[in-house]
Order: sequence, then structure tokens, then C-alpha cells
Amino acid sequence: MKKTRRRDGHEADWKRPAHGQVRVYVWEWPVRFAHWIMFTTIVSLSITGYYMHSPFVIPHGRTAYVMGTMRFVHLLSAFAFLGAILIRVVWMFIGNQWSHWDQFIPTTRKWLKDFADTGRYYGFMSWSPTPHIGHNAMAGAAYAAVFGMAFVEILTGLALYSRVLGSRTLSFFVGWIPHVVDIQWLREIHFLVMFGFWMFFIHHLYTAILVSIEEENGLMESIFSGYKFVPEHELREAIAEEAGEESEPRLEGIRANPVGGQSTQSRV
Amino acid sequence: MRALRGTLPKALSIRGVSRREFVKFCNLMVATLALPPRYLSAVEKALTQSTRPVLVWLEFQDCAGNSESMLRTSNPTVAEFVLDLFSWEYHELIMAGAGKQAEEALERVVREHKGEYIAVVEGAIPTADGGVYCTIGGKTALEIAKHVCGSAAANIAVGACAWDGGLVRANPNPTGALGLQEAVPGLKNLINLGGCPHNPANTAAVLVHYLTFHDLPALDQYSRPLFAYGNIIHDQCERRAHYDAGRFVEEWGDEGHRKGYCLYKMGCKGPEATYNCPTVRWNDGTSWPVKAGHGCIACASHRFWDTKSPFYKRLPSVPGFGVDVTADEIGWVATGAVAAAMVAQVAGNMVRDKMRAKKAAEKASEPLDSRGA
Amino acid sequence: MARIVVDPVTRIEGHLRIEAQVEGGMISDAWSSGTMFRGIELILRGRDPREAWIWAQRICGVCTMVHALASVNAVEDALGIEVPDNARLVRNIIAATQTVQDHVIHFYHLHALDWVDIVSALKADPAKTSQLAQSISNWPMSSEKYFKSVQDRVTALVASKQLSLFGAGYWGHPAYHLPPEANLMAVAHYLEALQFQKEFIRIHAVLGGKNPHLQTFLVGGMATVMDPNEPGATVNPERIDFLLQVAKSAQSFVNQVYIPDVLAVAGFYRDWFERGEGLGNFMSYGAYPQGSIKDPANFFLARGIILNRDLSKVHPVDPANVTEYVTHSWYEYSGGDQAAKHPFDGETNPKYSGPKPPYEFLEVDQKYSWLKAPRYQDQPMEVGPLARLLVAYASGQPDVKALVDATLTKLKAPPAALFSTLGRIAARALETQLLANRLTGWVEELGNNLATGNLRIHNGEKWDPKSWPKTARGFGFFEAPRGSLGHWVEIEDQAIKNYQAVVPSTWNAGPRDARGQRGAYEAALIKTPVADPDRPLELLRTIHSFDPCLACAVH
Ligand code: HEM
Ligand code: HEM
Ligand code: NFV
Ligand code: SF4
Ligand code: SF4
Ligand code: F3S
Ligand SMILES: [Mg+2]
Repeated sequence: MKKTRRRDGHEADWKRPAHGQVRVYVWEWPVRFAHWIMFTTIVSLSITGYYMHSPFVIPHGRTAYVMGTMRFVHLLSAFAFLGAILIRVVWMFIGNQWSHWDQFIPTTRKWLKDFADTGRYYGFMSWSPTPHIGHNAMAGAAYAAVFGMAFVEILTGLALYSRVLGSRTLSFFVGWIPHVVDIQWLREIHFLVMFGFWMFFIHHLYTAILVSIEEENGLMESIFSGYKFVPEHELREAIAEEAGEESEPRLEGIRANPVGGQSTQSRV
Repeated sequence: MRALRGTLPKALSIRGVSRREFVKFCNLMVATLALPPRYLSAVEKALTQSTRPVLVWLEFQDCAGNSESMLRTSNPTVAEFVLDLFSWEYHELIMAGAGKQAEEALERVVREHKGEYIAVVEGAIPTADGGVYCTIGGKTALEIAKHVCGSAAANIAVGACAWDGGLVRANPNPTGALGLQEAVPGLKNLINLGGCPHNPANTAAVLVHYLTFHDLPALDQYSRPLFAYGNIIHDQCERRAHYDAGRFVEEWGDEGHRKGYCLYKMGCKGPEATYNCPTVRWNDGTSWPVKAGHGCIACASHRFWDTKSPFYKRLPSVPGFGVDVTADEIGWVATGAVAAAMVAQVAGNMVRDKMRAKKAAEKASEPLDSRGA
Repeated sequence: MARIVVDPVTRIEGHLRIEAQVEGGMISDAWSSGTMFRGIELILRGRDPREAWIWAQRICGVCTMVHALASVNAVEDALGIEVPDNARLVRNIIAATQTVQDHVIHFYHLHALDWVDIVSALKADPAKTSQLAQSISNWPMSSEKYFKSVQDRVTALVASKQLSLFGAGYWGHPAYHLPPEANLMAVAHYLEALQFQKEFIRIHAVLGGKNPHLQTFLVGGMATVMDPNEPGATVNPERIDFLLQVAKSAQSFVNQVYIPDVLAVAGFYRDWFERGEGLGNFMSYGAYPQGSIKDPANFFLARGIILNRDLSKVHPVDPANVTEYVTHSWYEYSGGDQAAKHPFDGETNPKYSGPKPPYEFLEVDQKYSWLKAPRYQDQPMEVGPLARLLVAYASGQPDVKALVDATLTKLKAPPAALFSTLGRIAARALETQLLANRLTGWVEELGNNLATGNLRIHNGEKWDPKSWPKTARGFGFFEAPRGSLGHWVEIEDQAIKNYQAVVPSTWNAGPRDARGQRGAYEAALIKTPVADPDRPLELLRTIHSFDPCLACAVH
């Protein structure tokens, strides 16, 4: 069992929360599912897509079918990617409070302040990151960007696909696009946005690891397990805050267990 | 067997063409137009009628490449078009009359055949500075186009320039050039035959279609005939198997090039281009650019001079960067920059941790989970 | 004393307007004006020099490919690229094919109707026509039956009362001298030539993918890959056979139809050996390298200048001496319109100052054309087949000398007769013969290289723009069908900074310069008779003898 020694001397493992912490079910399975599908498809879309852009494999033998395969895999992944995005977007409306759409866009005063605080932290102007049950405002914004880029890739991708396919139905929905933006520029955009994903990816890994070390809240584990460890008072604040709003139901989403206690929930 | 009537059969018989060959020719027309076989007799009839429709061919900001291209048609030949199928009454490149007499010939057509004649337009129409960049007989191209095309039964814009302004309209479009449909909006029965130049095989088919049905074939959203502009070059290309396999020309004249590999990496725009070059080919089906060893430049695509160039790069250069900077380079550099920033962050955090640990030792009691110092 | 205007001048490429002063049935002064401008030199700026040829080629679709060739030459000169021998051969083959085809079309479809009265062909006796044809050539299509069928076709046309292209001709004009039989023969060959040109040009389809506007040029060589055993290669043994066969058919057509027709027509219009002589200065850059393009000594057509009709001396050509005036052209120069500019400092700033359309006359004492006025050491020059032939003749090129002398004795005319309207026509025909005969040789050389495994077709050392200097300038040239063609390119940061084309028809059809010196057309028209100012057939004869191309001239 992996142990981590905390600065305040207490010991904790990733199942049992340490002193003063409660274990909160933050990332429901659809969020995690969508997350990992997104991850895997983006990897394959990037590899196959980059090949389509500038073929880097020199095939051997008369039966080679490299470009054909790459395009096939790209399209397969593309639709998986599209599905994952859809699931996640749906969940933004029916999921728990931390998966809610407003977690991505700093709207409220509080969010804006948090955005600034996080900024100060990354700018080495404060000691520790602002603690969160969901994700901080800046991460939220980054994720928003991810969904934005996904939208662009899907739109441009489908437009390209409707040309490759020559299907009437598909071109009915996206056929207009090449007449607004020339096909060459659609490709350019489609290609450049890929690097946007790469940039996010690097930054994303870094923050995920950093924050899980700094906040010692099992964040890294959370995207696998769904659970995070949070100081009890923070959870209370969160609940109180939510109670203020009329959107009660999403509180069901939260399953917390008392200090030191064992989870009553079977993990998803 | 019905005897040959009318001028074309006569012309053909003069050149020793038998009725069988004549029917073969009609069949070919039906095929090019992708018409069902039952139209054969209609085509035959049209080709044997005795009074010929009047056609005028106008040249504006052009290079005469489309006129030259027309001289290369074989089914029918240009001689058959001019002597047997149409009365080709105005065409500066080849008409007998000049100056005043030429202008009168054109006027006569507009006057005596209002709403009956076909107007073919080649070249762009300048609209800047009152149209002074193209005048004929002292009148601007715009004036002439309005006058002549306005009262034609059908207008055929041949070549990129006449369709969308073509090369003449390419950035910075020094003369405010436009294609016919934009320079003279609202023309009825307009058909665009893009290409630089147009492939006369398609134009011939359109003209025969008009003779047969007094109407234009099915058009796409650019008013181009679907039979010629409906398919992507890339999907009809003889090098396509190499593309799918991933066998590409890497350098001009390399082994792959000699073996006929795909020209994708040399900038071929076939995947973006629609036209029927691979099937109809050029100059009596002799060849077409990709067969001859060079990439397609999508010369039949909308505004292709600006939208499809640079022709030796797969994708356009990103605005704001040098012409030689590729999208790859931009992407990689940007990604690299982010990576570097993250490395810097890691270093920064190590330092911060150390300092914070010291502070923590001073007042150990304070819960570190809450806001930092 | 009357001012006559011919606009549009037809049976040429492009939009040419001639204004002429007629006094006592003769032209006393003339002004040549190009009335269409596109600005291709401006459109080329900022683009990739490697693709400049694709754009520049669209300067003209009649002499298609010549601007492509001049353009790649210019960029190769700027970047110091030597092209492989095969590329040189393919370029020569393509260029010679262009010139032969261009000349044939010019004579039969653009020029013939100035000398041939179609309507008079109705009166011809097919039998006599057949005799005439057989007396001047052994061309097979010369039977009475054949000429009868052609006559029937013309009769049918006239009877239909729809004369099509021939409706507005000057039929019956007193200046037509051919007997009906000669007219009928000419009509037959008009139609045969239509057939010929599209068959012959398939050489371009094989080596260029299509014509007009070939698509296989490359900076550094050609895209026409060669391989003895690859069907996918552009040049393989089977294609060589095809090229040879087509080239041979051209030889027979030129030798058995074109040349005899020109000699026959000339025989009936001898007075045109004294008309339309023009400037008397002739220039040729030389063309068709048979070794390095850097060394004009090996060119198939020689380089040189002839001044004041003096065939005893051939002056050297230095491109540095070429300049352009805009004093009478609708452009502005920084630093005033009186001084000429060399193309490397060339400017293209259009500024129309002519009458507001619709107009009746141009202001010929001011600016009156879209053409600039090119000069060599401030001298106007005539360029074209005649200039090339004279330079080759004067520099004693044996094959040319023999051919010209033989022809002149056939025509019972002195060399001086070449300085004329008919001289241009004869020179163009002889050049066609020279090139048609040389063409097969180049195809055979290409075939030998293919057989001996010399397959190199492109030099890729400088393909990557990163291998280029920050700035470079180059001069590319060719002897196009209509004359000396030059492209000047300036490259900076991998892009075109300035591009200037000085084109054959710019030399010939250009307006006056700052010193009021006339261009070649303007000079040649002086003293041309005009029997009927309403039907200026004679004016067209002299103008057409230059084979005008205005899209080229202005670009
Ligand atoms: C993260 C998401 C994606 C990435 C990183 C990506 C990447 C790429 C890249 C780099 C190319 C080559 C562009 C070029 O140079 O021409 C490409 C082409 C393409 N992509 Fe994507 N893509 C993504 C999503 C999609 C989606 C959602 C679709 C939707 C169907 C799609 C369909 C296509 C198609 C049809 C092509 C053109 C293939 C061809 O030309 O045959 N892509 N993609
Ligand atoms: C290109 C690939 C990836 C994309 C586009 C992506 C996207 C996202 C998004 C949108 C979220 C927010 C969760 C939600 O609200 O849906 C998220 C959270 C998270 N992701 Fe990823 N992810 C990627 C790869 C990874 C990888 C490889 C890991 C770790 C090995 C990872 C670890 C996490 C963690 C720990 C969280 C929770 C962070 C928090 O609580 O703020 N992600 N990711
Ligand atoms: N003048 C001219 Fe051209 C030729 N020959 C150009 O270089 O015709 Ni269009
Ligand atoms: S479309 Fe091309 S070929 Fe036709 S006039 Fe324009 S430039 Fe010339
Ligand atoms: S050569 Fe061009 S059109 Fe042909 S397959 Fe390759 S990319 Fe497509
Ligand atoms: S360039 Fe044009 S000619 Fe055909 S192959 Fe491409 S469309
Ligand atoms: Mg110029």
C-alpha cells in the first residue's frame, strides 16, 4: 500500500483520508470515461493526422496501404473522440456540481478572484495553490479551451470528411463550410489546432502532477478513481454554497464519508 | 438506313465519314454528357438541323488561352462548330472582319437575334477606375458585356478569368477585375466552365447539349456542369493507389517520380480539386498534368490562384510569418515553448518548496492546507 | 486627309487599336495602342519564385509556355542553377513545337484572309485547282474530287446566308489578287491547317500535360521524368516513337503545304516586297541552346543586332542596354516619365490619362497606350522571325544562309526585299522549316539519352528556398515566335520583390518614346497605301505580318 508522509506528520494512503480530510466523489464515471477516451483518441488522431499532413513512413512491398490505414484509423478515432466530447458535454448539464459547465468559465466574482489567485500561484507570487474540490478556475479555463479546440477540430474535420466522402447528407450539415473558408485553410486550421492540444497536454500533465503534490488531495488518482481528499471545512463551505442555490439535486452527486471513517460506497 | 441530312452529315461525308461513324460520334456526345441512350436520336436531330444558332465569342482581360483551347477540340472539331453547327459571327482571334466591320457584326447579332444567340465570354472584366483597363472600339468591357450578354439566350463563361476573375483578379487585383457573373449580375442561363484554360471537350459537350435541348446541363452551386466538375481529381487519379499505399515522390526526378508515385508531397492539389482531367484528359485524351509528372494546381477550383497557391506547398503559408515558414515549424516551436515554460515552472516550484519548508519549521502549528503565506 | 481607326484589330491575340493618318491614299503617320492591362507583374510580387512560371505563362495562351520558359530561365539565372541536359532538350522540343504550330496558325488562320478572298473560291475550277496544287507540291490531298468537296462546303456556307466567322470580311476588295483556284486551294489548306495544329500540338500534351498552358516546367529542370522501362514515366521509348512520328508529320506539312503556299502567294503580291519595311533595326537574343545557356555561340538561332539594314555587320547584344519608356504610356515613373528605366529598376505604376470611354480618338500627342516603349541603347528595334533570320543570315550561319539564298533566287528577289511585309511572312515560313527539321533531331537526342541511361531531368540543389541568398536577381530570355522575350526577376527573402517582362510585341507594337521615335508597327505603316479608308485591308496586311500579341505586349 503506497504511503505518503504529510508535512503535518500524519500518514495517509490513497484510500483512507488523513486527519482532517474527507473523501469526496468528484469525477463521476462518465467524466472519467470521456476523459480517457479523449486522451487516447487525441493521441491516435495526432499521430495519424500528422502522417496525413506529411507522410513520414516509407512503406515497403507492393501491398503497402499506409496512407489508407492512417486515414481509416483517423476517422475511427475521430468519431470516438466526437462521442467522448458529446458524453462530456451532456454531463455538463446532468452531472454533479464539479462537472457542471459553469466550472469551466470564470463567471462569478469568486471564480474571477480564484482565477487571479491561481495566476499569482503559478507566477510564484504565493506559497500554495488555492484548494479546490473540483478544479481551480484557471484549469477550468484551460479545459474550456480544450472543448473549444475539440469543437473546431470536429467542425473542420467533418467538413473535410464530407469532401472525402462526397455524401449529400453530411455536406447538408457541413457542406457550406468550404464555401466560407477555403478547403486549404480548413486543413491549415485543422492541422494547427492539433498543436493546441499538444500544448494543453504538456501544461495539463504538469499542473495535474504539481497540484496533486502540493494539495496532497489525491488529485492525480482522482481522474482514475473519481475520489479526491478534501479538508472537511472546504466540503462544508462547498455544500453551504450550493445550498444557497436552487439547483439542489446536484448535491446528490456528492458522497462524503466522516473523518477517519471508511467509505460506505463501493467505488465505481 | 436514313440518308444523311443537313450540314454536319454533309461535312462529315465530305471528309469520308460514314453514317456509322456519325452515329458513333453522336453516341460519344451522349456519353460525355452522361445522358441516357434514348437521347441519341435527339442529339442526331440537333446536329442535322439546317439553320444554325448564332454564337458570339467575347474576349476581355484574357490571354486567349481559352480560344486556343477551343481550336483543339475534336468532337466536334472547331471547323464543324464554326461552319456546320453554329454561325460563329464574332470572335476577335479568328474572325475575318476587323474594326468597324467587326463592331457592326456584333451589333447586328444583338439587334437581329435578341434573346436567341449564345454569348461565350473569355477573360475577366475590370471594374476599377471606370473600366479603363479594357476597352474595345473605345467602349469598356463592362459596357460591352452588359450590352451583349444582357440580351443573349445563354451565357457561357469559359476559363477561370471569366468565371471568377481568375489570375487577373488574384491579389492585389490591380484592375478591380471580376468574373462575368459578378460584373454583370442577374444574367439568365449563365454557365461557368472553370479551368485555366477550360477543357474544350467539356465545352463542346455543353454546346452540343444546348443544340439538342436548347438548354444547359445540370449545374452545381457555382453554375458549373456537374458532369465535368462533380468529381475530385484525387479520386479519379491514376496515381491514387500509390497515395493510399504511402508511396510518394520525395524529390523531383527521383526513383519514385520515375515510377509514377503520388505527387502529394510535391504540392499536388488533386485532393482539393474537382474536374474531369483524369478521365477526359487533354488534347484528344493524350494526357493531363499529373500524368505528365507535375502536381495539379486545382485550376478549375474557385479563385484557385489565391486559394490554392503556393503550389509547391501542401498548405498555404500562415499569414504574418515569412513565405518560407511552414505550419509545422510554427506548431513545433509553439509546443516547444510551452514545454520550456513547464520545465521552468518545475524548477521554480522546487525552490518554493524549500523556502516554504523553512517557514513551516518556524511556525509549525499553522495548517498548511489553507491559504499560503 | 483623314484619321482612320481600326479597333478591334482582329485575327491577332488581344486588344490592339491602330489610329492612322491617311493622305493621298497613303498612311502618313500611325499610332499603335494596346487597350487592355492586367498587371501580372504586380500580381507576381511576394510570391514563390519557383512557381512564378505558372503565373507568368498566363501572360499569353497563344504563345503559351514561352513565358514559362523565360521565367524559369530568369530564376535559374538568379540562383545560379544549371539544368540537366535532358531538361534543355525537352525545353527545346517544347519550344520548337510551339513556334512551328504558332507560325502555321498565324499564316493560315490569322493572316491568310488578308490575301485570300474566300468568296472568289466559289468561281474556281476544281480541276484547274488540282493542277495548280500538284504543280507546286506533291502533297497527296490535291485531287479534283477533294477540291470540289471543299468548294461544295463553301457553297453550302454561303448559300446558308450565315457566313459565320467570314461574314464581315473585305471580300471583293481591289487589293485581292489571287486567282479563284489559288483562293480555293488556300481555303482547303485553311481547313487542313486547323486539323494539323491540334494533332501536332499533342507533343505538348505528352511533355506538358496539356496545351495551352503546359504544366511540367520546374526551376532546375523539368517534371518530365525519363525511364526506359517505366510506363509511368513521362518519357519512355514508346513516347519517343510517338513524338518522332508527330514531328515527322509536321515536317511534311510544312515542307509540302506551308512553304509552297507562301511562295505561291508571294508570287502574286510581289509589290509587298517593297512595303511595310519599318525601322531597319533588328534584334535577336538567340535561342535553343545546344550546350550551356550561358554561351550563345552554341545557340541554334544566333544572337545579335542589325542596325539600319546593314547586313554586313552583326552587333553584340547586352541585356544591360535594354530600357523601357513610359512617356507615351499610361504609367508613371518615380523620377519622371521622360527617363527610361532598365527592367531591374523597372516600375509598373498604371495611371490612365486617356479619354473617358466611350471615346472616338486617343490623345496621340500624349499618353496613348498600355504598352511601354522598349529601347536598346535608346534605339527602337524590330524583333521576330525576320530579325532572327537576318541575324543568323548576316552572322553567316550556313544552314540559314543556304536556305535564304535559295528562297530568294526562287522568288527572284534581292536580300533587301526581306525588309518588308512579305519579308516577314517569308522569314516566318523559313524559320518554321528550319525548326520543324531540327525538331526531330532533338527528339532523337532525347531518345539516345534514354537508351544510354542518362535519365537526369532535374537539378534539385537549390530547390529548398533555405539554400538561397537573401537577395538575388536574374535575367531569363527566349526567342518566342514573335521575337525577343526577356523576364527580369528580383528575389528577396525567398519571395519575388520585383518582376518585369519585356515582350516581343512590346518591342514591335510599342508607342513612341521620349524622343518621339516610333515603334516598329508605327514605322512600318508609313507609306502603306489605303485604297478604301473604310476597308483598310492594306493596313491589316502590314500589321498582321508582325503577328501581334497584345496580351503578351502589355501583360
Ligand atoms: C484532436 C482532434 C484531431 C486532430 C489532432 C486531427 C488532426 C488532423 C491532421 C493533422 C490532419 C492532416 C491535415 C492536413 O495536413 O491535411 C487531419 C486530417 C483530417 N482529419 Fe483530423 N484531426 C482531429 C479530429 C478530426 C475529427 C473530429 C474529424 C472528423 C471526422 C477529422 C477528420 C479529418 C479528415 C477527414 C482529414 C482529411 C484526411 C484526408 O485528407 O484524406 N479529424 N486531421
Ligand atoms: C490530450 C489529453 C488530455 C486531455 C484533452 C485532458 C482533458 C482533461 C479535462 C477536460 C479535464 C477536466 C475534467 C472534466 O471536467 O472533464 C481533465 C482533468 C484531469 N486530467 Fe486530463 N486530459 C488529458 C490527458 C490527461 C493525462 C494523460 C492525465 C494523467 C496521467 C490527465 C490527468 C487529469 C487529472 C488528474 C484531471 C483532474 C484535474 C483537476 O481536478 O482539475 N489528463 N483532463
Ligand atoms: N509577343 C508575344 Fe508572345 C510570343 N511569341 C511572347 O513572348 O504571343 Ni502571345
Ligand atoms: S483562364 Fe487561364 S487560360 Fe483562360 S484567359 Fe484566363 S489565364 Fe488565360
Ligand atoms: S498525384 Fe495528386 S491527385 Fe494523384 S493521387 Fe497523388 S495527390 Fe492525389
Ligand atoms: S491543374 Fe487544372 S488541368 Fe486539371 S490536373 Fe489540375 S485541374
Ligand atoms: Mg513589362
